[in-house]
Amino acid sequence: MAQIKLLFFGWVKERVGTGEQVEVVPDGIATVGEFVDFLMREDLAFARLQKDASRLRFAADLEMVGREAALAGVSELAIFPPVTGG
Amino acid sequence: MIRVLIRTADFDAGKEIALLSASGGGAVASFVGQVRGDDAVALLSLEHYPAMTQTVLEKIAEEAVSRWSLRAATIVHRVGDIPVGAQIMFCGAAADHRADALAACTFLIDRLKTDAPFWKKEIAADGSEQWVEQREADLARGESWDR
Repeated sequence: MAQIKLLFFGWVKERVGTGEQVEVVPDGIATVGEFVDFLMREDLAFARLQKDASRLRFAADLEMVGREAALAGVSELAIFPPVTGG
Repeated sequence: MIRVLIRTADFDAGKEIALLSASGGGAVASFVGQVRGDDAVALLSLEHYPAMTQTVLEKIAEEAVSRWSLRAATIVHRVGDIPVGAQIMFCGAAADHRADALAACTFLIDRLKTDAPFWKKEIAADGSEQWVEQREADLARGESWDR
């Protein structure tokens, strides 16, 4: 069971209710998508993201990744809406 | 030379252009993004992912330099609360010839819109708030440049 730091931005931060927290990745969870699905299932704050799950974007250790990205070795996972800079 | 700045304070677009001009090429192209006064919007509040933003913007600028024959590339982006009419961001490229400078400048803003971790919230005069949604057209423009 590995610990991972989660960071949230935009409306994800507002819905989860915090900017960051530390979570434990349970055994058997291999990808970013599996982990986020697990959190939305198990944690009430994350359940508030469920209806917009398809709009979530991710960065693993400062690199943009997709849901299929492996979680092994990742120490920081950011979860956020599609970016809107410029 | 690559110049990337992320800051809350306003910037001097003229100074940025002068710095690009000083690189000695024959062409400088630049773009300034401003806060549009849509509906009742009073200001934009811009959030970013501090640990990641600088690196992403530098990568975008480095890619521009590797794709076109550039002498310099600059990206300046503000964060925090920015009122209607104020400048949000600047990008610019200096090259020997205009085609490289113009294409690189377009690339910088197109790629920034799809890759850089910024999020905008519109705040109206009455205090109501709304997160800005990513536009399909922006996504398409960003992806139109080969990876």
